[in-house]
Amino acid sequence: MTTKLIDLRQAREGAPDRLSELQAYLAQLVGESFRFARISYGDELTLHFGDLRPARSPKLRKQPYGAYVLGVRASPWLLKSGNAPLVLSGGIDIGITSDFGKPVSKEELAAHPFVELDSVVLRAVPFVIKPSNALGLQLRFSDGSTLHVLPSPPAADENDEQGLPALADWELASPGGLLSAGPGLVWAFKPASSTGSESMQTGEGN
Amino acid sequence: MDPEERREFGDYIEQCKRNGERGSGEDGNFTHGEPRDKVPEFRGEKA
Repeated sequence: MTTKLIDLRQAREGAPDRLSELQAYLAQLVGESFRFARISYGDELTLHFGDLRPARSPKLRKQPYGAYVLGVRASPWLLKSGNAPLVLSGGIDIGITSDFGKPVSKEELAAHPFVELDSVVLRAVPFVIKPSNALGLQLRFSDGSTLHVLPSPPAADENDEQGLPALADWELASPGGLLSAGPGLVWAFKPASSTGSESMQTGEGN
Repeated sequence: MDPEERREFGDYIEQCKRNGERGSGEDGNFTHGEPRDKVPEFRGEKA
């Protein structure tokens, strides 16, 4: 058995297989307990894991945050519940006609996120979505639930509007730093000590 | 803003919407520079 150390504090040159490096950075999420889901600004689904901490802002005193926060940004997602025969989809076209299924409000999703509380993340696996050349993400939970994040290509004028920088397709905030994937096959990890500055580790998902 | 503060700020904007504040966008969303205007109150720099 080979033992490997993933150092989240310093820069490293990426190995040729960048997707496996991305998976290595995701390893920090494995074993963390699911705490709750929250819909954030822009209807972004966020999943919180690990120890809970209070918000830094005095305006959010009653809102806890997980030590690990997965945000799917504007990416479509699909959640299969492990404790009930239910599938939830967000922003995804899987051929369901509009009169099938029922809308779920932000409040309903937050109150009943369809993943058993304290379920542990067993696997966090990135994968390449060939048609859209994007980095997908699969999470598997100990209660049998699975989450797939399935980024779609941005509209041609989406990022040029107002000169805004391109949004990541999904990101994982952790005590070690911020891991962000996309758009496209690029990803980056910024250690917490350098947040807001240049990325320390970047790669392409090929 | 660092990523942690940015995330909290997004949640604060959602909280404002739940409390009945409306932006100028569709469905009352805060658009363009409106969220930026709320940064001082989010940070507790403004009542």
